[in-house]
Amino acid sequence: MASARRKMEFESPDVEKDFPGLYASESGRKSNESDFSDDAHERPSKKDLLIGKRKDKKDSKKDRGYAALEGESSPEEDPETKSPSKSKKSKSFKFPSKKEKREKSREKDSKEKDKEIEKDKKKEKEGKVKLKLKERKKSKHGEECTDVTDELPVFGVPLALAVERSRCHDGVDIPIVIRDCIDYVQENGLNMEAIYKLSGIKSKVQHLRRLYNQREVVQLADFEPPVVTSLLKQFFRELPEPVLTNDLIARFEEAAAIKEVGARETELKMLVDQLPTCNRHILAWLMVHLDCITDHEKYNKMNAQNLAIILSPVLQMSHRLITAILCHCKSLFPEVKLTRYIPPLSAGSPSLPDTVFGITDELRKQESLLSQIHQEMNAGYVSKRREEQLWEVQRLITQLKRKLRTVQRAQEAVQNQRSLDEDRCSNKMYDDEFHIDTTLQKARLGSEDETITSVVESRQIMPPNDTDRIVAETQLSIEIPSEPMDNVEANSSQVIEDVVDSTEIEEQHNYVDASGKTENTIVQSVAETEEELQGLLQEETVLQLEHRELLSLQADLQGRLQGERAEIERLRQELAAARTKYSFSGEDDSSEGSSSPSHSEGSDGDDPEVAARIAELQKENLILQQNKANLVRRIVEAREACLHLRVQLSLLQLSQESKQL
Amino acid sequence: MAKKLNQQPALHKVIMVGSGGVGKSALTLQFMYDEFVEDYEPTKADSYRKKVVLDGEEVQIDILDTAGQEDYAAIRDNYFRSGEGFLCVFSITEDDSFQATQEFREQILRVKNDENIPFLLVGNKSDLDEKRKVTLAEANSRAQQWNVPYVETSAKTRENVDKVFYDLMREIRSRKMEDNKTNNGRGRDKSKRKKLKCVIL
Ligand SMILES: Nc1nc2c(ncn2[C@@H]2O[C@H](COP(=O)(O)OP(=O)(O)OP(=O)(O)O)[C@@H](O)[C@H]2O)c(=O)[nH]1
Ligand SMILES: [Mg+2]
Repeated sequence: MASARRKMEFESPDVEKDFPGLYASESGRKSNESDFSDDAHERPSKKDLLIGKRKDKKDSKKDRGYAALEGESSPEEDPETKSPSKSKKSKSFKFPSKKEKREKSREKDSKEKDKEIEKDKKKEKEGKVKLKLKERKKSKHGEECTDVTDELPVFGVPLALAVERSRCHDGVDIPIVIRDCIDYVQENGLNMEAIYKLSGIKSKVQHLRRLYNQREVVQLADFEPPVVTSLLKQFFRELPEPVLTNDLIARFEEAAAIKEVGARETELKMLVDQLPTCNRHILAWLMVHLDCITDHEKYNKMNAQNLAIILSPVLQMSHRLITAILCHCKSLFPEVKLTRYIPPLSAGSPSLPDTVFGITDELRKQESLLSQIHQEMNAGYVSKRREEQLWEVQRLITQLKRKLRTVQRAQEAVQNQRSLDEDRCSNKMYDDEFHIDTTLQKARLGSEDETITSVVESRQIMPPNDTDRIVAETQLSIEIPSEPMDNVEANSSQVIEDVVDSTEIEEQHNYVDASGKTENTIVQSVAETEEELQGLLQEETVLQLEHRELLSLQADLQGRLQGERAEIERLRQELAAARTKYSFSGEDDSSEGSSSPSHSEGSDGDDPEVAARIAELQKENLILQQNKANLVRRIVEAREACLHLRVQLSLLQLSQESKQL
Repeated sequence: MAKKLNQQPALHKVIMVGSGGVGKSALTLQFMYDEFVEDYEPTKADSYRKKVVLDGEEVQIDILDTAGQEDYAAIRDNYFRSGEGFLCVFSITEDDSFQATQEFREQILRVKNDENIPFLLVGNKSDLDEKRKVTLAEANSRAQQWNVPYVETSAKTRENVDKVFYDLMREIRSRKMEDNKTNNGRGRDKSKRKKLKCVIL
């Protein structure tokens, strides 16, 4: 119990292990946003805010929103998340305090930033421990407004933190805001004249920036293309360090200056590979996207040069460097395929996916979302909204898990049905063979002890209220072997015992009756040869029945084994086919790109779709194999039960016949 | 819109706590779907919502089934914080689980900061009376000490399963009405007063 006590303490060291980046803080805010900054909080209050803030000041409003949810696990709408226009109204801009301004100017020195990040992380961690202690003593009144925006923004923080905080839940590691912007332009802006050139209305851009900082679900479709492209530019402009990193950016510039095309490409590629993963990902997505724009130059009038002029200050890259990267885009980032982001379902979503793959895919997204919520909560950012979301996501996960189980079970049932049908066919087949077998059996039937034991076995299955009949039958069968008398006696007493056992449970008087009768009849029946014959016949039938069942069981299992092998082979081929089919586009390990497209290997990597497809196939294969295993087990069980039942049935029929006689 | 809002059923948020294997999930599933699963599958966290009629009033209950296993303890606080009422479950066949209720109680009070938080002590597996390790007297005295009700349940036979959930919802409901009153006293929130009237009707 002592260990349980320790673990139940507030401070769990495991938290960070489970949720990496949990205590990560941001530090590198830039000052160019001060006009519209939402960061109204002062440094000293940050620590206080870190404590378990339970409620927003806006809570009363949100309370109603929650109460307005409808129906049992029915689609729910959260007006705040659903419509950005509504939430826009409810939010007012805060103006930065003096202290914050001071803090911002202090942060201008970019050289020291890295160190500061580390320091901040440490501070925050230490702070948290102390604060948690404090919290225990805190009264209910210690509830202040904590906004995730103020302490864990997405804009203006190191890229790795932005990716962490604005996570795409489908495994593509770029901030969701950039993903959304790229998706939007890919869909709506490729043919728009002067895309990226025009600036959006500043207040709208700031509004969107704020929504993303607050982890709202944003509908960019409600906004004009210039607003969206400005938002993207804003994100890059606010990065504390250029995407190409302080360390490498100069070498990138040098590489871009290389005259010889081949050498330039090699050098650029080498440098791209040296970038931190998240920098590489975002660079790749952005450049592939910009390359798409130049492909549509005919309509949008934007070529690499135009784009370079616009984006040079934003990305802190020279025109030459941007055009060079765009020029080599396809060989620098061959494996990047822009895929539209489909966010995790919300409780308001009309229905859950129906296929095993769809459900597992959605489950993965929801789990990713859930762990992000936990992460932020553990870092102290708790609002009523967030708590509601926690329960909601949890509920979705529970529903998905339950549905997955149902779907899997249904699939198994279908497969079971199929195999049952197969069984029926094979049974017929074996019926024919069986006739030959039985004649052989008949010939072989003798007075072996086996005979008796098998009869005994089948009897034990019979319901106890049939004991009288069992006893009658026992008498018959016991007499058959006349040569080894000791043996017979041993066996017969065994039979009696068995009969007694089953009777005992139900009716005590029956037991007395039965055993008495048995003793009598044993003596009597020695002479009665006719009955002896009948007994033999009965045994024969029982054996025949059992034999037939066992034979078909065996054959069926063999058939299943073959089928399973064939299926495995088929899946292997499918997998191989998928691999070769796409092999022209990738030489590195195809499974690598499935969760996070890798840009590293310096070779032509795989198309992420191929990787995803392969992962999908592999998963399918796994599921199939599991299902197979389950099936085989079930079939064996079912068959055994069947066998006993059939033997019972025919025994009953026989005894009825003999009664009639 | 306002009309529609008032018709929305109240939502009560219940959290299941207790050691691993005491039957939190079994109680939840029995209450939600009338099913009982013999197999033990440790929970990480699960959440359910159900519409029920509580004393003639249609309400919704959100149930959060937490992990008893210490492996998942790290995320428990986040759930505790948002619970309005707690079913603190132990198994009458396992003394350790009974002792652990003390820890859970403390953790809840720490997070909620409220001695009067709606709370029931639940002794589960009452169908296994022959294996009983925790006496009724022991459990009752702890409940008295905490000033909370004690109820014995069986997720297997469904004995008292509805009772514990409904009793807890009643406590949560009356607790909310109290809170609303004090809020209205301060005259701060008009919408809440409206809601309260509706409840009284
Ligand atoms: N006989 C009996 N068995 C029960 C009862 N409740 C639960 N069980 C069994 O106890 C085992 C554990 O039950 P769970 O409901 O999974 O336990 P839990 O508290 O949810 O455990 P964690 O999820 O690990 O915290 C299962 O095998 C159940 O079948 C009960 O009332 N009577
Ligand atoms: Mg459980």
